[in-house]
Amino acid sequence: MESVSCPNCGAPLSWTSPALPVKVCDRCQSVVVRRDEGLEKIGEAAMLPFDVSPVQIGTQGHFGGVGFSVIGRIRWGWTDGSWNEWMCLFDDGSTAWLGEAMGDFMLLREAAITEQSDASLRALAAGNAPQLGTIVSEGGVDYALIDIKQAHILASEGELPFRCETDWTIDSVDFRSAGKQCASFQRDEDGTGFYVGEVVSLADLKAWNLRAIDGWAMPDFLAA
Amino acid sequence: MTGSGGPWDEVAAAAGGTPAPSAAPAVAASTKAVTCPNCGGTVDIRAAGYSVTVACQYCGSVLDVANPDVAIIERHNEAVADLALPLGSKGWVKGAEYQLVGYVRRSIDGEGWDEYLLFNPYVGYRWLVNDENGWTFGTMLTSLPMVSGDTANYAGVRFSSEGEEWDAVVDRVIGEFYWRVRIGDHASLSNYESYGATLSCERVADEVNWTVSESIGAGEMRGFGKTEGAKDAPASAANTGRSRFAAGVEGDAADDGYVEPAGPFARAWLYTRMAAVAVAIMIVAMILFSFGGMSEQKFGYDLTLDGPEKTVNFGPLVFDGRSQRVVISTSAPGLDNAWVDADVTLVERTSQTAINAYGVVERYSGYDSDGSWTEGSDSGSVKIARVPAGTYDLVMDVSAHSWPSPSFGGRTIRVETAVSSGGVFFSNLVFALFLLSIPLLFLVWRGFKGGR
Repeated sequence: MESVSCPNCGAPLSWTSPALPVKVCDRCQSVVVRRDEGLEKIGEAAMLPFDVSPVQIGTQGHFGGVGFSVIGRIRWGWTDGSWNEWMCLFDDGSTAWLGEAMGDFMLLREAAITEQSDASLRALAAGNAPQLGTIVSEGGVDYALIDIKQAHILASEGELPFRCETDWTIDSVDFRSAGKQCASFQRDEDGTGFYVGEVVSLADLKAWNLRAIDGWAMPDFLAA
Repeated sequence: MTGSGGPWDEVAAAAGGTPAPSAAPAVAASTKAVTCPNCGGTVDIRAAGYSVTVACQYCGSVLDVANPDVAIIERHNEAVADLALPLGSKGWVKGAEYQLVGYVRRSIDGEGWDEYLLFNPYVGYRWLVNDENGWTFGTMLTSLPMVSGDTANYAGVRFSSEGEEWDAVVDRVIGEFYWRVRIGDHASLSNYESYGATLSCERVADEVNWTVSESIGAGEMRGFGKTEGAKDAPASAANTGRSRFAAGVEGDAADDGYVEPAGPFARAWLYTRMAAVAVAIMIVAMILFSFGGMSEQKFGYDLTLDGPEKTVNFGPLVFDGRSQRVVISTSAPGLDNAWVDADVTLVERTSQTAINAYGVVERYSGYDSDGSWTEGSDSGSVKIARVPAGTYDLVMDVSAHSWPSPSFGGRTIRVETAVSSGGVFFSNLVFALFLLSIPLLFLVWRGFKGGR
C-alpha cells in the first residue's frame, strides 16, 4: 500500500492496487491521478446520493476461486434511474467490475474486441447504433442485446482505472444469455470497452464485510 | 467539504447527510424520506438508489424519485384503502426476510389480482402475487428462456404455453418501484406452465421481462404486519434472532445462478426421475422379453434453423416380433446452441393405430469462469416399448431452433434419423441384473444397519 497526500486538501491518500491510476479523495472528493511526475488533481467527484446498496468499499468475496476486495465505485445515472459499478481488486492482481442494478449483481471483466470478434460487436465498436435483439457470439456464448442507455457519472469513490469526473457521458449496452453469462458494452468519444461475466448473488460470492443497513439482519454468507 | 455543487448533494442531505459508506463503518440508514408535492405527506423510500417511482401512500399520486427533485407524474386525491399486506411491513417467505415496498393491482378484462413487491437489500427483489387461486412467490429471471412456438426452455425445464396472450392493465399503484409505473399502463402477458411452476413473460414496448413463480401456502408466509394497521410496522420488531436468514438466501440462490426449482416443482422432478427409473426398468424388461426384430434403417433430411416445422414420412417399417422395443435415434452432426424437436408417430398401416412419442436433441456450449462447457449432445433417441407386430409408417413433425430465435435464421442443418427394433445387448443384460439387484442390496444394507 502506497500512501501520499491529496494535492487539494492534504488528507492522506492510499492506493491498494499498484496498477490503478485514479483515486477519489475520501475527504474532499477530488479526483486525483498519479503519474510518474507526481499526483495531479484532474477534477471533482460529486458526493454519492444515498442508497441502500449492501456493498461498500472493503467488501470482500471470492469468484472463480480467487479472493477479491472492493476498492472503488462509480455510480451511473440515466433518465429513469441509476446503478453502481464496484471496482474489485483480485488477489492475483487482476480487476473486475461488480455491477449492481435492480437488486441483481453481475461480475464482469474487460474482454478485448479483436479481428476475430463477432461482426455485430465490431460494428458497435466502430460506432454503429445498437439495436435491441442483436445477437453477439463471443467465446461460444450467444448474447442478446437487451438494453440500451445513455448514462453519465453521478458520483464516484475510491480507486478507479480511469478518470471519473461527474457528467462524463457514455453509451451503455447490456447483454444477457440463456445461462448465467452476461456482457456489457460501453462507448464514449475516446473509445470502447467490452465486458463479459456472469450474473452472481452475494451468496455466490461468499461476500463479507457487507454494509450494515439499519433494521436488516446481516446475512452470513461465509457460514452458509 | 467542497463537493461539486450538483443536485445530488441535496439528496444526500435529505438522507441525513449519509456520506460514502467507505468512511462510515456505522450502520447505514435504511430509508430516505421525501415529501409528496401533492399532499405534503412524508413518504419513506425503502429501496433508495433502486426506486425510480413512488406512489404516495396517502393520496395515491405517482411521483418521480429518479431525480433529486421529486416530481408529480400523475396527481391523485383519493383515500388509499388498507392493503391486505401493509406497505412497509416485514415478513418471511421461504426462509428470507423481505419488506413490502410496493403494491400494484392489475386486471385482465376486469378480473383483478394483487401484486406485492418485496425487497431485501442483501437479496434483491421478489414478488408476492395473490389471485383467486391463492398466493404465488415470484423471482425475476436474469437469463433469457428459449422460446419456440408453444414451449419455453428455462434452467433445463420445458414449460408449455397456456396458449393465450392477455392485455393486463395497472388499476392501482402504491409504494415504490424500480421502474416507471403508472395507472393505466398496459402489458402483454403470457404464461408457460410446468409442474406447478409458472414462467410469465411480460412485454411492454420493446422491453421483455420474465418471472418464474410457484404457489406457496399461507403457512410459508409469516409476518407482513397482518395484525397491524396500514402504518409501518416497527422495523426492529420483525428482526430479532433470525439465524435462518443465511439458509434462506442459500436456498434461493442456486450455485449456478439459476433460481432453484423448489417446493412442488422440485417434488414433481423427483417423481419424474422416479418415473424415469421405472420406465428404464420396464424398457430393460422389454429387451429381455423381445427377441428377433429388424436391422437398423436410416434416412436423412434437411431442416432450416428457425424455419417452419417439417413433416417427414418414412416406411414401411416391418416389425415381426409379437411385441418389441423400437428405438428412433436422431442426430444432427455439428449441432450447437440449437435444438431439434420431434413429435414422433408410428402408424400401423392396416389398423391405422398410432403410437405417439416426443423427442428432443439439444446441444449448447459456452464459456464461463470455470472454462468452456457444453451441455446436451448432437444426438438423441426416443424409445418406445412394446410395439405390436405390424407394418408401420414413421411420421415425424420436426423443427430446428437456434437460441434465441431467430438468430441464424435460414441456416440449413442435416438431420439423420435411424430406426431399430428388438435386439438384446449383453450390456443391457448386465444393467438389468444390476437394477434387479438394487432392492436386494438395499434390504441387505438395511438389515446390516439394523443389526448393529
